[in-house]
Amino acid sequence: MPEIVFDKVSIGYHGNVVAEDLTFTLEIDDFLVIFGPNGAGKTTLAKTILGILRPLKGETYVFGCPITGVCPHKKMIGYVPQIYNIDRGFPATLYDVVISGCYPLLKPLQEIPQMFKEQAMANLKTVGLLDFKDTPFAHLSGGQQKRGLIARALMGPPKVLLLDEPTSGVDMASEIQVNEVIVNTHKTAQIPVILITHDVNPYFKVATKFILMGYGTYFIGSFDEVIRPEVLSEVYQTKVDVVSKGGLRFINVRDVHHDRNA
Amino acid sequence: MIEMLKLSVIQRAFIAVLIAGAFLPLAGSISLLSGTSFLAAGFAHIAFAGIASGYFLRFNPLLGAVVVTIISAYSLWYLSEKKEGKYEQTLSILFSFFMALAILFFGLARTYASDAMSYLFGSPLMANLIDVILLVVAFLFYLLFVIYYQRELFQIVFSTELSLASGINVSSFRLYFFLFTALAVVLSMKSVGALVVYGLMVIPPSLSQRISKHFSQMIIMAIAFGVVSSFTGFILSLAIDVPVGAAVVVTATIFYLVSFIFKK
Repeated sequence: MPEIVFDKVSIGYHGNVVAEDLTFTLEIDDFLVIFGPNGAGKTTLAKTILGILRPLKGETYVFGCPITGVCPHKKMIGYVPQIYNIDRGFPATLYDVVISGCYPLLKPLQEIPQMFKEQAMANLKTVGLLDFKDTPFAHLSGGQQKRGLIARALMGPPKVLLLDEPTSGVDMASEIQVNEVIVNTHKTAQIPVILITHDVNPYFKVATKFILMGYGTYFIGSFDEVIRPEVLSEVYQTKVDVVSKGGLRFINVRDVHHDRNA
Repeated sequence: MIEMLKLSVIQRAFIAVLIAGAFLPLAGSISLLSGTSFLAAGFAHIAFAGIASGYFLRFNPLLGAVVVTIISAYSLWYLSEKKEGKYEQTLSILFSFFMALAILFFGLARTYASDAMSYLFGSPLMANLIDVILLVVAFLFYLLFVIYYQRELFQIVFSTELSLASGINVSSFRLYFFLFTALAVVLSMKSVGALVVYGLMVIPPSLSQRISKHFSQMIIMAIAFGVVSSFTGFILSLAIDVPVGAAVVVTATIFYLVSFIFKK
């Protein structure tokens, strides 16, 4: 059974449909990249997978159990959200934030098991931040915070890793580090990954599936099915090229800031 | 002064001021971290309308304050959570509306209620046994709540998004937090006064945040600073005969300023 199944699902919030008839699965060895222009529903889809939003229509199964039912699946998706401007005085060290990833698995007042403390240290090592464990989280750079949140999301460990724009607001050098951590985790820990991004180029080598979300339309499939100039140009409503350079392929997409109501 | 501390009325006042000194920074810490510091000022003014209604309709003013503040705490939660009202705007509207009601009721009562001033400026000597018991019980309740749910609270103040994804019912927590903050404000008013309730909710947590590295440490230190400020303020007010609330807040502010000498 796949880890996640969406069968003809409509997503949206407050009764507004954002996308209809989404059908896809996430298998254990998948690296799924969700991309598309702003406002097309990427984050809405992520929130539906996480169970924060209920699907408006259709069947959704996460780890074999319906997303709308009472089930512990929420604790098994490691989530890396977009975060903005954490107050510089926020009283938590990097270690505090990482260890909090196991809180949903604990009973109230239960002492943190040694196993999780060791896991937190191991995850900090994985993301290359062991030396910063006692640094206030808010004092870390944007890229370090992202890597810290990945270490947090890996507590458990989770059965799926879901990242929302993990490299937004991060400089180029940090972006490479963040992406390395994600790809290595996927390969070594064999955790399926769902990644939402504006920039798909860095993931062409690792991604197994793509969901391109447009306004009221979407494309799901492999590289050859989705990363095509005519498909991309239709969704982005601008001319998009797929270019080949040194054996690697790139797409040239300018992000289109559409007003959905326009 | 030692003789005075033997009087039961003084002892009761002392307890009330110390508990207010712990309760308000406790509620204030969560408030500060979740960006809702204005809550205390809002509730203090709203409570004043309840007190005014008590004088006008001739029932216990404290009861009036509790009822009015709880109702407005619930309304604030309902309008901002369920009806997508903006929290800040909703609170400002409730604040002004209830302040207007307070003035209206005092006008209609046509008596100069000097007793009402005890809520404004604080007068712990007028706190009766029931006032003190209510304050202690509400404080212990909130303290146990915060200890029991400390991990949920940490996640909520860190990131709403992550909390929702972890399956935490953020909306319910917000309601409990509003209700407890309302109670902290109302029940502390008699001992320290509506005008300085806000100070005790904001100053000790701000000081504590400056020097704390961890969430639980910040809350514990905020309570400690609050209690020390209240203790010092109370003794000062007995010694040099100044209003307790003012003495407490001035003390807390001095502690805050002194903290700038030390680096985090």
